[in-house]
Amino acid sequence: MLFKKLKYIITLFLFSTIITGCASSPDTTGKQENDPFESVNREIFAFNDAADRYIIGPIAHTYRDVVPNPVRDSIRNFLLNLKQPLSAINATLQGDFIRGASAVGRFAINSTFGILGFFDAADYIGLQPVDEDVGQTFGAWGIESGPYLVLPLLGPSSTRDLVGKVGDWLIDPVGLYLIREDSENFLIATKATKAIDTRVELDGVIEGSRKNSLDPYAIIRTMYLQRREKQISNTEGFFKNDAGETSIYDIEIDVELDDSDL
Amino acid sequence: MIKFIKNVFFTLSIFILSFTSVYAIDKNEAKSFIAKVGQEAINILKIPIEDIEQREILFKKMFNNSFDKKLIHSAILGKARKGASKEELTRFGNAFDKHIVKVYASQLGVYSNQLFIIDDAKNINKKDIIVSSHIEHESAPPLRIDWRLRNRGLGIKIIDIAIEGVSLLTTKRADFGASIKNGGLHELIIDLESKNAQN
Repeated sequence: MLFKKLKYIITLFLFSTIITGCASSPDTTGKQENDPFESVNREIFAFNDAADRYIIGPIAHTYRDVVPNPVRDSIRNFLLNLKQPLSAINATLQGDFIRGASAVGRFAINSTFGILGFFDAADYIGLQPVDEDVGQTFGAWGIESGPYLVLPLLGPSSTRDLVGKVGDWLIDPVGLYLIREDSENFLIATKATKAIDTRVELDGVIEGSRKNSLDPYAIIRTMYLQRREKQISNTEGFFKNDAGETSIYDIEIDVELDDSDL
Repeated sequence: MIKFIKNVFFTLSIFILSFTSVYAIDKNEAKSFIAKVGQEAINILKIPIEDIEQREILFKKMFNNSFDKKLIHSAILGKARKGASKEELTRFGNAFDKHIVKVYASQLGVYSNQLFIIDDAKNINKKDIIVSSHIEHESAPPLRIDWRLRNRGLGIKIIDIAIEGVSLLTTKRADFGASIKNGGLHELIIDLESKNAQN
């Protein structure tokens, strides 16, 4: 029943997005930014922005100001630990068996010695956090991101990442376990806390783009696309990945300047 | 005759371009340069956020000395630069520099025992070298910063920075896209100047 409902909502959302998107022309996309639904995306962005200014942002600021830093760190560790089984599956599906094993190891160590994941005990033995999702797995398999999307309340995404989000929901072992144990409320609470914590982490970016940018929509779009590309390639640098390829978002810098420009 | 003149121009262009100097950068030199810039940035972070004027003065000094501003202006404008007058380009340059100084002087945060660590230097092509670095802090994950450097005869200069995979040039060009689309460089200059006046 739930699956049917979800399928219906997604189909409806995609349909309405495509219809509205087709009626509008792309406005400010760079050559690598696939945003054919820019007009409708901008409207959803404006809605999200208002929701953030009046509801989500103030909740996140209260959380940041009221909950002490060490407690927030522990909550962040706990939430990251819950994601390790999903990350392990995705890293393995991407053929990255070392990081897959690392995520399993982290989950085992932090769930026990780290007291349910509130403390990052695995970090002491050099096991770095693994953060992988189905969208990244699709990307690693060579599936293009497809049109850029802004989702109501959830923010920036793409058609590939939207399908990936559904995939995460379907294969996440922790989520499936909690649903089987009738602990949906706990699952929802962890998702809501994760959303607030992410909002706190992104506070500088969101407030900064609002205050300093000429076009916050375009800034968030390019940041999201650049970040996703980096997450998918699992490389640290922007300018070249491990295969020696420059980022597709790297702009033309070989401009010709005359002597007066020296 | 026209064909002959065309050929002469073409040959001359090739000849002139072949003498357009881009100097190779030594990797150790590049690392030392970024270490120096990193120290300057830390000195700015040590100034209280309330003393925004002093932060802006120091950041402007760093931006003027260590960045290839002309190249950055041109790369950000891209095609919008074509056909622009010298006055427009100068006005854009001034507005952009002011914008960058204001944004980063206030957004750089404050110093709280972060460590600035240089990791590596790599050539990505004949012209540019990338210095990788990261900032370590006890209560935050490491923040990766890549610096793209070039020497056009002015000494080593920064031409782009990527923080956690997000490039400054790419982001700024995206930010300015709508203004340029709406009314070209002229519109962008007006928008930037009014933004600067607001902040």
